[in-house]
Amino acid sequence: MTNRPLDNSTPAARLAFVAAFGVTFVFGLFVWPLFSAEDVTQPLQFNHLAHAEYDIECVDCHTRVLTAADPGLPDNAVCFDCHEEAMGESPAELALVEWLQGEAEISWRPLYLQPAHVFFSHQRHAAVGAIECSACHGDFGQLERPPESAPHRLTMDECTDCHASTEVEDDCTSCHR
Amino acid sequence: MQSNLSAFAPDQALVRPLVETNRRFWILVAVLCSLIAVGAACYLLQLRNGLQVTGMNVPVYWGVYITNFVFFIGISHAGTLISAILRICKAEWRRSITRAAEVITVMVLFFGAGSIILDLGRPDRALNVILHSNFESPLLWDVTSITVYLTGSLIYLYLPLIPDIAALRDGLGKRRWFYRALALGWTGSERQHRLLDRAISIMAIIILPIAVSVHTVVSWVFAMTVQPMWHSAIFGPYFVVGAIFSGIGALIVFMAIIRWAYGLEGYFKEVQFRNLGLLLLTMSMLWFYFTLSEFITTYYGAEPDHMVIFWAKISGPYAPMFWTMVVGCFVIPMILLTSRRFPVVASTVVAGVTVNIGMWIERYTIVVPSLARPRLPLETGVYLPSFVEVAMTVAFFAGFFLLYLLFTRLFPIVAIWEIREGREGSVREVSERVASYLPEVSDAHDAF
Amino acid sequence: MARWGMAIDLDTCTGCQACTIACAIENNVPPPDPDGSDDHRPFTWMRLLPWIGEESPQAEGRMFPRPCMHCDDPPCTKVCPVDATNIDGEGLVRQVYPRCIGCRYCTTACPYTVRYFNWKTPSWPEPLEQSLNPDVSVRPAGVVEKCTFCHHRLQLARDTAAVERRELRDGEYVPACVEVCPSQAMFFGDLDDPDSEVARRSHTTRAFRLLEELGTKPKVIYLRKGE
Repeated sequence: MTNRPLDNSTPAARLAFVAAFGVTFVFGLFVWPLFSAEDVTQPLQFNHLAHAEYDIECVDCHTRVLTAADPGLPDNAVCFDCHEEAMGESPAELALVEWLQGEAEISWRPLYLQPAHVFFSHQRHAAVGAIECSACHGDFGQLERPPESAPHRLTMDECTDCHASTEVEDDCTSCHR
Repeated sequence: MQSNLSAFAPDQALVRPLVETNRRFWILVAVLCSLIAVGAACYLLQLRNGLQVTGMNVPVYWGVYITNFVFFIGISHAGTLISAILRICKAEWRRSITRAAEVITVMVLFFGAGSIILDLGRPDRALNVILHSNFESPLLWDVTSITVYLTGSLIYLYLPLIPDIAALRDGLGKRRWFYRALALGWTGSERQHRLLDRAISIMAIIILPIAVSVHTVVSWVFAMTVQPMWHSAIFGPYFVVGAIFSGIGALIVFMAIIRWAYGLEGYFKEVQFRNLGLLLLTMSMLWFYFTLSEFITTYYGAEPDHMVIFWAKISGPYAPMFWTMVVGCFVIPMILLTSRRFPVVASTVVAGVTVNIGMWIERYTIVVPSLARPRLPLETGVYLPSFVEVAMTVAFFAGFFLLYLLFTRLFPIVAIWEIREGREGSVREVSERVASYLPEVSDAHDAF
Repeated sequence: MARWGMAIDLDTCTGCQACTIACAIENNVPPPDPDGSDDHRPFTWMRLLPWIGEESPQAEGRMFPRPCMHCDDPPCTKVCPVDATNIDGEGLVRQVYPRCIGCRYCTTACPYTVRYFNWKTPSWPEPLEQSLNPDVSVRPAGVVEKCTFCHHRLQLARDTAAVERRELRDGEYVPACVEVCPSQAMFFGDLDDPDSEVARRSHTTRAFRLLEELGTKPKVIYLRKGE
């Protein structure tokens, strides 16, 4: 009895298949996401680092973080408290002071958007759980310019890992409700 | 097209459909494809707009799709189960019909499982069944059982195909690469035959409990809930009996079509139809017995929630369907199959058709009335299938016929080697076997 | 651990359906199409179940406000093939919308028919779509949803209590239907806490449950007409 091989593909054909598979895989995993994420440009060049150097805490400007589920981004009044008049000479600050003369709120564009099916409470995590902002938002406080995309993209695995290790509620419905 | 089919003599008739196509075939393919196309368009509509395109509503959450699911899975018992039983019992008249039966099983299972996908509100999440399985759910038992059954039936269909595929590889002269790959290097040596016989008998035995489990589990989807006229201990065997019943009916119909279309009167003889007809009659009586048991216990127990549904079926809005079912599944088979006055083939085919109509209605009158009459009488369900549901049902039947048709064009629908084996060996084997049942003549003399 | 339950006094219920509306607004349940094209499809998580007694000559009519019963032994959670519905330690029967595959087995298995299916993407007439409750997600087409006993309110109450470093108080967490009931016919709280209002009321001789004989142990207790 003779056994014929089931396929009669040549090494070149196999190589071509593996190569095509590899290229598609790498493209889908690394290259495609670069195109699919939209770059975000802020109306003003806010310098987080400059503020951090004056020992200003995140919650000093992001005032609703400890009390609200969705704190939003700071409104003009927060900036106005310090920057009614220019304190230095940086062009970014001058632009801010000029903006604050007008009525319009600064249209900060959020980098962190939740999917519609996820509920996340900042109060619960920052106030009740006392988690550092940087745990989810990365080194935002060390940035001199606003980034064009979120420095750290949170995944559900990170949520569940942390919930498991800290032994807090890990019901589906605590976040999906 | 003329091919030399002498390699298959004297069974050229079995191979002819593989090399010759006529206009009738292409018209049929075109009709089936257009029906499928309508169904595909409807499915796109359903994907875009959600299940609002169906007739389902509150509280009739399941309708024709689930009915089709139970029906198709039921039909699937035609093949494997009947073929396996006949093989194990060494019923020699089986030789020409086993493959026709096994193909039904495999092809229809795709549409049975497909009906569930069709019914999902979020088919994009169907994989959650594997990613987040909850083994407490009867629906997951279904997924498990049907997957095993499909795998088993495919193997059970494929194994007896191998010698025929090898013969096609060597003698047909068409699609050689295709048959060569599928023949797995079959040479027909004695060792290969021995191994194949063993594998087939092992599969025939394994497939029996799997087949029984499949329709039992399908019935448990209903029976495990507390809903009136679903929550019944009899449902497991009742569904298995119904499945074999409709399966035999479907097999008879398919045999008649093949015999007519390919001129295989010599292979599907009256004896096959008569024997299957007797089997159908037996199942009809069994089915009636189960149906009677189910309804009479409900009636005598007279629980109000059950009785609401009972009367809805017996004399309410579902009565026309219910009594059509009784006529189709019991009255007509009893009349046609118990009398010798009717021509065998015609009467069994008619009975096979009415049984299948009746069995589809049975599934419908199990699924819908219980949902339409919930225990808390806020709403009385009104359900009428929408065009999309009807079109999808038609498309699924068309798809099933098309796959079956294509199979008959790629492989012989009667196992050539088994027929040959029957001619060569089994006449002798059977007479020896029968002789061995009887007391030996010399011993009988000694006793005196 | 608490075991949340509800008591509904049929003697004080006027059948005004304020609970139905409050629930729909709180939980982003869309209104039916004005043109009635989705006949038999619209739903609200809280519905009024009419019941008419058979006794003549004075046939008595009653209205049962019917939310999810949050059974202690729910028939729906067992049948879900993907564990998209389950019961938590406090007796709340939950539904996980992002996991649900929409097979509707739970809706058929529920003897109270209080589970609903999204036949289409929900929509609101303008300008109602601007007044959705941000604490509750809008369910997509193709998934099953149901009354949650407003468990997002439990989470909020619990967060507030945690920030203020104290225990949850009786009456601090109530669903929207209970809060809004104008005749105060509904009570909500911990059934295991003997001092809670709902526990006291549910242990009177007037208390009964719907389809008690099925053994599902519902945590919605009705109080029949008083003597």
